[in-house]
Amino acid sequence: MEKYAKLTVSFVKRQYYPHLLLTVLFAACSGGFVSFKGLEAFQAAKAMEMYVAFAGILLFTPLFMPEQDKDIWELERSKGMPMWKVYLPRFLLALVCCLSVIALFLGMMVNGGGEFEAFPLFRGACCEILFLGSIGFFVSAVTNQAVIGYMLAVIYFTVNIGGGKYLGNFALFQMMKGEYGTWMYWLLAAAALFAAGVAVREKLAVRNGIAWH
Amino acid sequence: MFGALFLKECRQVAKSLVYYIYVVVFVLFMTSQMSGEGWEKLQEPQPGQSYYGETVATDELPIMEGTLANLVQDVYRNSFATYPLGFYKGVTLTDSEKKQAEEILERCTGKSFETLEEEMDRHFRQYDQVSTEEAMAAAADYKVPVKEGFTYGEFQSAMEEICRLVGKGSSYEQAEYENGIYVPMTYEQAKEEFDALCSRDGLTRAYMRLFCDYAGIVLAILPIFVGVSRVLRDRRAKVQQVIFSKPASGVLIIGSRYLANLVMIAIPVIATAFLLQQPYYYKAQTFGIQGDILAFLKVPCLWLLPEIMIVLALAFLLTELTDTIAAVFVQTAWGIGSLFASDTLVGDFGLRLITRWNDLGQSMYFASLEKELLLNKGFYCLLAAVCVILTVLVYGRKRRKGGSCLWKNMQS
Amino acid sequence: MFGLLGPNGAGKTTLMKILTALLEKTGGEVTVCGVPIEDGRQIRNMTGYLPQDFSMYGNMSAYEALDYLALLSGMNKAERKAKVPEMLEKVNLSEKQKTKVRSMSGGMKRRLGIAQAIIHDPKVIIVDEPTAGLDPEERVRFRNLLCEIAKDRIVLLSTHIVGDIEATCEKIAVLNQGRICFDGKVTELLSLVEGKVYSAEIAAVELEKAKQKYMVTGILTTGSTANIKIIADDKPFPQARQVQPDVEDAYMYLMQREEGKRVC
Repeated sequence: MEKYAKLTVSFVKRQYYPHLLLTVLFAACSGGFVSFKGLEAFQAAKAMEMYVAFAGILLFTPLFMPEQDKDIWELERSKGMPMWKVYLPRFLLALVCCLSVIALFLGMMVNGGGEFEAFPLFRGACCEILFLGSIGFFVSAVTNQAVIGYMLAVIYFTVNIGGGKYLGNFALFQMMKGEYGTWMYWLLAAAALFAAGVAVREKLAVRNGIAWH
Repeated sequence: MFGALFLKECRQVAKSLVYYIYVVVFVLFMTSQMSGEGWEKLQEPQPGQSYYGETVATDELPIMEGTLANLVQDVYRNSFATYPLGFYKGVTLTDSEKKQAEEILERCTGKSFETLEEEMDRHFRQYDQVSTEEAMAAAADYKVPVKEGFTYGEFQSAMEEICRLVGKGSSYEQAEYENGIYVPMTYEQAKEEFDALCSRDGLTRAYMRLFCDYAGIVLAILPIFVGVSRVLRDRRAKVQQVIFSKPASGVLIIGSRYLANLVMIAIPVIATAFLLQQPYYYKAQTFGIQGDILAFLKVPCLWLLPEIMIVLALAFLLTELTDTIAAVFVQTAWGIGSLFASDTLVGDFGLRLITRWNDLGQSMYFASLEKELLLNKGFYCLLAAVCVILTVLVYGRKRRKGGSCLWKNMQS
Repeated sequence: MFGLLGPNGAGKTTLMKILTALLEKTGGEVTVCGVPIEDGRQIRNMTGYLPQDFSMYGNMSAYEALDYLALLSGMNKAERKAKVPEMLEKVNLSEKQKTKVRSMSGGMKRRLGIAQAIIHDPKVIIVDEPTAGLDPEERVRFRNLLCEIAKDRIVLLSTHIVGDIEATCEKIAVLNQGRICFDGKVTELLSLVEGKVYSAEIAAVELEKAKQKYMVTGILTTGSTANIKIIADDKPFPQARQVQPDVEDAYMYLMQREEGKRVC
């Protein structure tokens, strides 16, 4: 247990802290971009889906940064521990941070006296933001490049601004349309992408199918 | 030597996965958005049509009437769109603030807010809101007359009060309402517009402006990744030290990389523009006019190249400076912010990164804004040049410091 | 060929980087063949550098990588066309010229590294830990390559592997904690321990005691006995016999002496 805690602390110290700082900055600056006063359901959903959603991309995409370096990946593997156990504490850390950010925003909105139902919004936002984050996570896992992870997550977000209708139940911004029922699809897709990200990455890496450079 | 290095860098770009993602996303986006776009507009206006489109108001009365019409709707919904830092921020007024806004409206129109509400309701009921054309006509026709003797000066100070209530960046700021009010066109105006579209723009140039409108959105974001990925590749491949130790100057290394990335990003843009332009070029011939065959080169080079230049240059600078992917966050925020910040989909260029022209036409209006556009593009070209120079300086500094950057521990 | 020897963290790489204008000096005066290192362009023109962890873009072939680096060294097309195959031949990579860098072994990469360092025919070649991580065969091949290159130019070899120096250099300097503690010929370094190196067979249980009392530079344990190599001013055991010192003995002695100086 202590071993995994140490690995996670080292990950935060070496690679992750700028992302955490940026998330804090992102939340701190929200006042300039988003209004929290007396929001209607549409406005609250808009703030969650179009602004807070970036926290998911920000927090889940860079989780493989240390192992982008083949030497580090080989060293960790040589210690005989399953790699998913190395990734899991990081994932949990990102998850806790992400949920905290969502809860913080929801809290501010509720505090601002909005006219919306808090629970469906929270549930939907969590699933949607996890889903968006899982895209970055999966892509950066299999391509071994965080940049491409960010790129595809941002592209998916942008495509949804105009082309959500082609994406069926996996389209974003559904709550803005008053549709709160697609959270299950987002959650399932997120779970599948998170699990597949680790599995595919490790399979590729073992077969030397990962582009280390 | 620069040429040889430039070609090698182009080959490097062509081998990167990020570049292929860029090409696929760009081409898919453009072809899906642009195929047949504006085709229906390409008809000569006939007398007796119910709607001929809209044009920007330049007289004081329509500006006041149009702005007040928007204000009545915003106060009624109690939802104001503002862009204080370039980002969209919806503002909802408190009860007392809403009351004040209603009083301002009453002062401008001489009618109570309840009366204004009823009139608005009556107006919109006259139209079949399900049909897009009717809905657009309903919005364009809706006006709120000012009370007798109400001057433009009084109107301006009333709008200043509204701005104080809703905060910065609303459409009630002078620069916004003086450029953002549309009035329906008459047959004569529509005919004049159509003639200008044919004669002044040769059709293809107008179509290319529309192309640039869509392309400008994706090009504010996608080149960031190409640039960041190129700069970080040195660190990822652990080649920094060996390249630093070579006699080639920073200007040569950064310059060739930057130019290669710029050209490689521009190639699919120009190619897509050329392909999409062809049907419109032939369509122009059916109107008996000679379309501008080089519009695919002229318009995107003026409209999009400066945007790609600044996006790429800033990505180079921020990544070289921090050795991190910070540019992705900063510039994505800038790009999306700029997209949401534009109050109108046509014109209002200012110093916005994304310059919009979501219309096939309004050639005369464009002619009046051409100077503003040139100023915008010139500014970004200059800024891009400054960013590239700064990148060369940062690169030189890193070279002397053994490759370390400002934030040693932040790696990607 | 000049060898720069020193323990890990002695400052060898820092010195190499200063000499190749990759790092600014904090004080003093440094010149390479009379050229002050402040003149970065000139220094880079006259030096070839093989960094400790040399690598190139993984998607480039050996030929492309060398051609790219030759271009950065200021060579025109005709020069590159002639020199790149010649250098690949020299470092025995001709047959692998289409192999991608990402598929190369450590030894192949290192040979590509030396090819890029000499391609523009510099006066001085600076190689930093070139044999670390190589297998014995590859290491010997690499040393021979360095010796061949050193025939007509200065090669500055930095390493913490004493065997590399012993096999290749005539003159060396030993760097410790940022200070040069020896500068001279290999024979002069060996003379420091002349008559002070002994070999003895002792009981394995005595080993700990011997290590505490003497500077032991080699141990070979076979069953209950151990063959040890000791540096001592006088004969340590009656059964000990004097042997010919090697560079490793001299280096260990020097390091020990330095340590003693610091403690005092």
